[in-house]
Amino acid sequence: MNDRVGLGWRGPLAASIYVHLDCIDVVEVLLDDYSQRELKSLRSLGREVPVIGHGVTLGLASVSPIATARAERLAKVVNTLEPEIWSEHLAFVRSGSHEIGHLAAPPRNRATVAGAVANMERVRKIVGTAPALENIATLIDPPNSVMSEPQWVAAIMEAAGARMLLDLHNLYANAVNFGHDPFEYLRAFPLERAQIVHISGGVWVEWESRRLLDDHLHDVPDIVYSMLAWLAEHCPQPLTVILERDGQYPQFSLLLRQMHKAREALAAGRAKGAREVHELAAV
Amino acid sequence: MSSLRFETFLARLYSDRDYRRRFLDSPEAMAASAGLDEQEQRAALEIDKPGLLMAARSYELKRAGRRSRRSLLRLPWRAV
Repeated sequence: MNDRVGLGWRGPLAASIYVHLDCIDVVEVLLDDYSQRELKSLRSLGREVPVIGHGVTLGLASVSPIATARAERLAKVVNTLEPEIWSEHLAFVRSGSHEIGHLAAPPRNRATVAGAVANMERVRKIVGTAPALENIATLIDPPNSVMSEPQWVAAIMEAAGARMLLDLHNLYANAVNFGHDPFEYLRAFPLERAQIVHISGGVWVEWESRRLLDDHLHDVPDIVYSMLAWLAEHCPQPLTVILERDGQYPQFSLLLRQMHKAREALAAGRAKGAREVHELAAV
Repeated sequence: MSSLRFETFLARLYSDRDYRRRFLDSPEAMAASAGLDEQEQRAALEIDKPGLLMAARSYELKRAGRRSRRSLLRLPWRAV
């Protein structure tokens, strides 16, 4: 079993990441418009630790085709960095001349399933490899939806033959924001496709209603570790777990502690899963 | 089912404060003027309003922070 635990590369964490590479199994790098110098630095990082890539701007889950020029720019970064695997979000980020500025949940229906699958194929042709697809957090229940989030995600994954980046805090936020039990909600996703797992934290916000915002600025809540342990218990495939932190950086030792807790959760889940298999075999 | 027009309507609702305010003031008129079909207009009228307000606010903050995020991603500390 080759579970791995790492964290997202961010400039302010760079020095600490290099100092603590012995505690970090893998680093996830954002696939951005880097300068040549930055790309060179990131390539050198890849010689010291396994690197995976993470895109945030494609807007794959849309009824409109992604722009060829955007996919070509991404291809240049992916092919220079040569990450082990790369990922993108099941989100739309723009339409027409309107840039949302962040990841938005599209209507969950057959049209956006078809749009996402077509965009996956387009990206696969231009980049040469297909991304793992990530479930996103949303504060708004996307209008004009006729499918549940797990059904919609599963439909895209199956039609595209995609691997999944399962973001546990996104999933937890959507569960609590829209009245689902987090563990039942987790169980409904196509977990057999999960290869990468994101963990992070968030904050409760209130505006006529109280919802959990996935902001990557807070520590990972305990329930996310419990969900990770459950996942490790029920999914036999190796998992690469990435801690995401985008600001309000604590002491690096606290990030290492959160990575350690993720390792403990994985180990506890694997041990419980193995015990259950053993007990079943003994019956 | 879900048209490009509806997606564009949502993107504008999420990113354009004035458009959003006009929609919240007169949802029927704005949904009709966006050229949405009957089902899409119904969906627009049933929109999760607290969610819309919170999501729009969070997107606004993200757009405002984009420049600083770009600077956070730089790798200046170590020339390799």
